[in-house]
Amino acid sequence: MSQKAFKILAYTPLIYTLIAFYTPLLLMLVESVSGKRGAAVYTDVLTNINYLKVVSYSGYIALLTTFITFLIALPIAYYLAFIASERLKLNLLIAFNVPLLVNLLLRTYALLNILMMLNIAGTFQGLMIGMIYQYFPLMLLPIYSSFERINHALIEAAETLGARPKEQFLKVILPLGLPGIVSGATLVSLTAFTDFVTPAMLGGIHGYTLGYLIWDLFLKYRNWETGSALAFIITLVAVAVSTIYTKWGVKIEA
Amino acid sequence: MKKGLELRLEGVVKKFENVVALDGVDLKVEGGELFAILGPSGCGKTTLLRIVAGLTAPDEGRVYIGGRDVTKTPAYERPVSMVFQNLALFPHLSVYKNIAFGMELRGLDESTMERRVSEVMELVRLPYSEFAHRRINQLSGGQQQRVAIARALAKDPEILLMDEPFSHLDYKVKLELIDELRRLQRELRLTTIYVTHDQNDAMMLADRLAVMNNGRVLQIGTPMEVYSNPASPFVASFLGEANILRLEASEGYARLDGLLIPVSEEGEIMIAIRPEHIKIGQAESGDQVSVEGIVEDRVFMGPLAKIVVRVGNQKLKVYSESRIIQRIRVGEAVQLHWSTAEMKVYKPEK
Repeated sequence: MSQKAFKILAYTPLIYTLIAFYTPLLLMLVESVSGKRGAAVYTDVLTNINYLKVVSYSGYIALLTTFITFLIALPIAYYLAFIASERLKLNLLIAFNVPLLVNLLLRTYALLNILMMLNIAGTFQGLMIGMIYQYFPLMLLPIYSSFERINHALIEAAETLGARPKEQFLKVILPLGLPGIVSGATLVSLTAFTDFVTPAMLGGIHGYTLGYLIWDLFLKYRNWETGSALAFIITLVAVAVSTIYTKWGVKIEA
Repeated sequence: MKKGLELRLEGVVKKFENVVALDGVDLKVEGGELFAILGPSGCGKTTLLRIVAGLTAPDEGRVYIGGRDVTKTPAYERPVSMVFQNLALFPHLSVYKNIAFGMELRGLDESTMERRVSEVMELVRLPYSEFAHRRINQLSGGQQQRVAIARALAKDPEILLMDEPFSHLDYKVKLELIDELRRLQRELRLTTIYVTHDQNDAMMLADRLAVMNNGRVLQIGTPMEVYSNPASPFVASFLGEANILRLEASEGYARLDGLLIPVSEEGEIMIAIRPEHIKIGQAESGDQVSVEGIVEDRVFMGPLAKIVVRVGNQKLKVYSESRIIQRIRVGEAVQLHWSTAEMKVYKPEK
């Protein structure tokens, strides 16, 4: 009996999730090809130089965010996993995560106030500060947890074999922490790529990203089929990237 | 022929928070010697090993390798290799890359590394062509053990440290590896320090051994010396089995539950007598102690067997040949005898 009960318990939310995620996606696909142009809307979107500019600008912001959050998160993750005492580790992890409990809009408004005081609201600089603030925990947590799983004896073994601290990091910690780094980078780059709220609120004229464009296409220009087509393409790209990552991640973990 | 360097520890003290792990340890291990450190878990033996490796810094005291003070030398600059308890093989690297790890750091060229890797793999009897390019998780426990030893040897260390490396292996594989370790150690004349809680491993392996408890070295000597002349009741019962009796002595005798033991000491004493030194049946000349008891249990152990005999409130373990013990039934009364020359008398430790 119990096995069946667990099966129902497991499948109900799964079915709910699948319906909630794929129905809008399907509706979007239908919407995108329902105009006069039919499927040709996709070639229009993919060949529109202005769209491509916005897409590549969003990609640039996403990659820059990924890169900077990685540089900040790496030493912090190392410190938390290998140096900090248990107590300090716990307190710091809580401190890094409490902001995530605050609603995104409130958080962004709070930051906007600070940026205005510093006179950098609406600049590219202000936008990047917001993006890094927003995505830093998403980079830190996976890297930290993969570092945390590394057996300390491996680092000591490297040390007795002649590895200096720098070499211990490059030859043991970094390769063993790679799954966490890849998952942090995937998470940050994909969500930053499609982010809408942070650039729109903090970036001013520099905040015209992909999310903003789709918003405009839907609500300003009422161009439903083009907006849907663009959103659908982006979703496909995101799914493809995360599929590749998952397959590759499983392979390197094994 | 080359020989490993001598190791000397002087007054080594280490505390963790308020727990004393090492309480003033002095130790000298000769160059080329196979030395075992034996003690129960938590006695400080692993801390001692880590201090020699440079992975833990002592609070007080000094460490000398070949006469050179290395107390402040970082682990990566000491001429020491370590085989860890959980082996600590790099899961992301092949057997070859694991063994060549240290050589790659030093930037040796590929052909030198290949020669050295196949050399040490041959030493530990792992065929190069078959195993060099396997992943660690494709090896059995015994094979992983061999890789760990090969990796430690590849560095060509002066001192090889081993932290209970065989504790998780099957008994047979363990015996095989112990034999191989002895052979290797004789061939290479490496100074080897082997930490274990297993008295059998220590006795089989070591040229000399040290028994530790509570952060102190209690006794140092060859396995035979320590076994036949234990310095304390703890050593007697930790290395081999021993019957320890606590009794009161006066006027040349210690009395307890029908036992009458001639001793020269007075007051509270402890007596240790090994189970194989207690004889069953008729007393022989020279047996000053004689007592009757009831057999409570009988355990077959191969060529030897053990009976547990109740004498008043005491229980005595007695070993004898299996063919003799075979004839004894549980519940039967037996006569036991021993010679005072075989037993050790101690004043109780405070």
